[in-house]
Amino acid sequence: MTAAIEVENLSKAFGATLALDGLNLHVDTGQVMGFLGPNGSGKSTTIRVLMGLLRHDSGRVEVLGRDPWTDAVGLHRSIAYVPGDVNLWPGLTGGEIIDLFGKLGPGLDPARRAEMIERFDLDPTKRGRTYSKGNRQKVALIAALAGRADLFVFDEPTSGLDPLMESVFQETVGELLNEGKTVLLSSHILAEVESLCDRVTIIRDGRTVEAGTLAELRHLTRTSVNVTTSRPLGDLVSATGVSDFDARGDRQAAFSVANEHLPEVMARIAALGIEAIESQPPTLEELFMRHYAVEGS
Amino acid sequence: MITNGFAGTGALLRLILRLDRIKMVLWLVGILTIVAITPLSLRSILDTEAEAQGVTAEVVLAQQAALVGTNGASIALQGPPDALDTYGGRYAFEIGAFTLAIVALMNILLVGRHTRGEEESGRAELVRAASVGPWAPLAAVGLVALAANLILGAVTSGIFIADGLDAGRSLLYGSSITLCGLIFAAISLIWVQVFEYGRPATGMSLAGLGVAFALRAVGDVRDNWLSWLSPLGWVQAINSFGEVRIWPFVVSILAIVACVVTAVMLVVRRDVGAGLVQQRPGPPVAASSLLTPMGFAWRLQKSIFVWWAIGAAFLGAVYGSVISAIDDFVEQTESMRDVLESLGMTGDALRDGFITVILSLVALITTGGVIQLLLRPRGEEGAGRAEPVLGTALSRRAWLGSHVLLAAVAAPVFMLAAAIGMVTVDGLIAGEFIDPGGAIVAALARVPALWATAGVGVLLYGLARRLSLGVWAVFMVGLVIFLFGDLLRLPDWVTNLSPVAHVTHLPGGDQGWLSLVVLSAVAVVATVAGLVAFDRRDIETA
Repeated sequence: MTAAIEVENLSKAFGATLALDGLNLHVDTGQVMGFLGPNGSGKSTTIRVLMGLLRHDSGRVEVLGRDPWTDAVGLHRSIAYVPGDVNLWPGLTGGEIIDLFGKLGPGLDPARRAEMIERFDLDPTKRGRTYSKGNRQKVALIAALAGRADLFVFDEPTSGLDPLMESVFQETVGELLNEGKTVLLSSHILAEVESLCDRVTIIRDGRTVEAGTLAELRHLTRTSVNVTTSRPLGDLVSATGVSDFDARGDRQAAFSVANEHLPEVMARIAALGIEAIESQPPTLEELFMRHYAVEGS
Repeated sequence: MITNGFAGTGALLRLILRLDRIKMVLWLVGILTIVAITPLSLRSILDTEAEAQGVTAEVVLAQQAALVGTNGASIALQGPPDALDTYGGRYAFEIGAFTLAIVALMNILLVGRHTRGEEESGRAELVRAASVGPWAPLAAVGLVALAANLILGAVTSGIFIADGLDAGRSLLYGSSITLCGLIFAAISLIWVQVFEYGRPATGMSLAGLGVAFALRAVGDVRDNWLSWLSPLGWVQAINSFGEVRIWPFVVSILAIVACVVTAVMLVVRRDVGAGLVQQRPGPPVAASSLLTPMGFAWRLQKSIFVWWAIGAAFLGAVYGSVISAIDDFVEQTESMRDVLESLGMTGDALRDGFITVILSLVALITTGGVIQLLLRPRGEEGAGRAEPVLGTALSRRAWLGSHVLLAAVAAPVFMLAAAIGMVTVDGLIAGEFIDPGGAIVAALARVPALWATAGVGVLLYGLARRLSLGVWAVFMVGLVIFLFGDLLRLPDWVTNLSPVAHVTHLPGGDQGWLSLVVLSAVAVVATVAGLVAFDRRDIETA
């Protein structure tokens, strides 16, 4: 499998502020990569470097086998890009803007254009200044999705969309995947990431903190357990992998277990005679909270 | 019934002062510097001349009064030649209608920025959602305008009193400046209600200022009632240092009150963010003409381009309408003809001199239009609209280059429009067309100066977005040198900083072609350097 995006040890400073500090990102062709991180962690800066809009200070950046800074124009013939904050020209209509991006970008498929306008329920005769935030976002999405790009870069593309349009977006990205296209999706909507992405990369403070499939990431986290046993729990509190231990009498407790130690801990509890047990796999929210929270807090 | 319509005015007022603390100080200091320098430099010029002739400065003032009062070009720029034999009258004339127009400009931009500008960006919605009454934004910006204009008026009066002029008349003149500013602030308050977007609203106010300036220019040169249709004409008609007129004072105040009342009534008749002029739907698909870099740039710039061309033609026409008055004047005044002949000049020379001054002024003013076209990419970048466009296969160079090309084409178009307007109107009034080709060549000879300024703009923008506004400094330097260069007795190297100052001899004189070549070369080199630099810098994001 060839790499669509290859970023190694990427750094970028704005004056004294270090926005990216040795970031790594690897996206294979035909993959939908979720790109996650708290606000201000450097997601948009990374994307702008990938688009050749910002020049990076150090590290290696390759998009579709090209250097985005020196070969931006050639590269952009194969990329569709939707920024998070879409600003349209006040006097141009939505239809005109879609055509403009199509023509200046990777080209537009007229049938797909009509289909996307239909599916996203956009009135293309309205002027840019009269669209709401969600509708501005739709204009940019239609322009991207109706195009003939190989790589789609979405920077929080659904932040203004209603749930109906959000599901249309998810459908269309699914179709892109079937066509063998590559997608980089930066998003805060975890349900969207969960349903669309094969893999995710999580960054914080301009650095990659986690990368892998969702299943792999889940494995690295903790399961919460609430158990009542027939015999006292004893020194379970000090068992390897157990933390957040909250004793409720000597036979009941709530705690969390690191997933890699789950088998031993469960065996120990079973030996004590389980009367009642509730266990919850980590939600995606918990997964990300762990990474988003500043170290030590 | 609206209760607490002015709630929150105080907080908004402090917000405006916070946002504008540097901008407004620069405006006030700039305008007051012009006001303060005038008495100082004029006194020194008069004293030098008096010493040379062995007479008193008052005698020289009276001598010059006769000469200045017959100079059509000065009158068209500065105002009616009233009370020129008094110090105050002469100061007021030198400060002139042009400074009043700058005061008006300050007010128009101030009001536009804090009303429509805020609504368009959506920030006004945040503000109005707080405990803020519908009239509070108007009241806040109105109070800031009032304070700024009062400062201008008071300091001006103070400067004149410190110069030893009559306190009452000085105060009257100061208050005429205050009134002038307030009238245009009040007019702007109406336009920002009518239009949904800041650009057309400010545009209409600026067009109104242009018409006001033109009306009084024609009225003053022909000494007729046209001046009295112009707010600038009103405040100058007060004639603080001659036979004072009270009616323009009353008319100005009534106009301010009427405009403010109208604006206040309009505010509650429309929704926040909406205007009284509504939007129509447009085409669902793009015409193929839009889908090229050049077509795209043209689409964004069309209205600015066309309006500036119309404005330039109008400006040319206005000044064209007074050329024959200068000829008539020379023919009718025997003493004037004698003076001219003794200097080896004919009526034609005077006519050419007038056209030269006017074309230089047109070149300076339309430089503003060229800069506005040129800085469009700056606005696009700041609004976050450059980013998705440069994310397409459109190269940076083609994107910026197409806007630069438009600005470059605009320079000769604007100058030609002005020359044709001038020649046509003059021909129609005089009944014959006197050397129209000469005027047109003279107009085109000023184009390289516009290009050079534009080139500086491209270079600054190419280096960094935040630097690009520096090109307005080139514009302002040109304007100040043109208007006050003689008064300030600036050294040559300073005067040479103004591109337009290098082209001052056409029609009727020899133009140094070398300076045109140098100006063009500066334009080309700076533009190329700017385009190259733009390829190498980060694109800023909103």
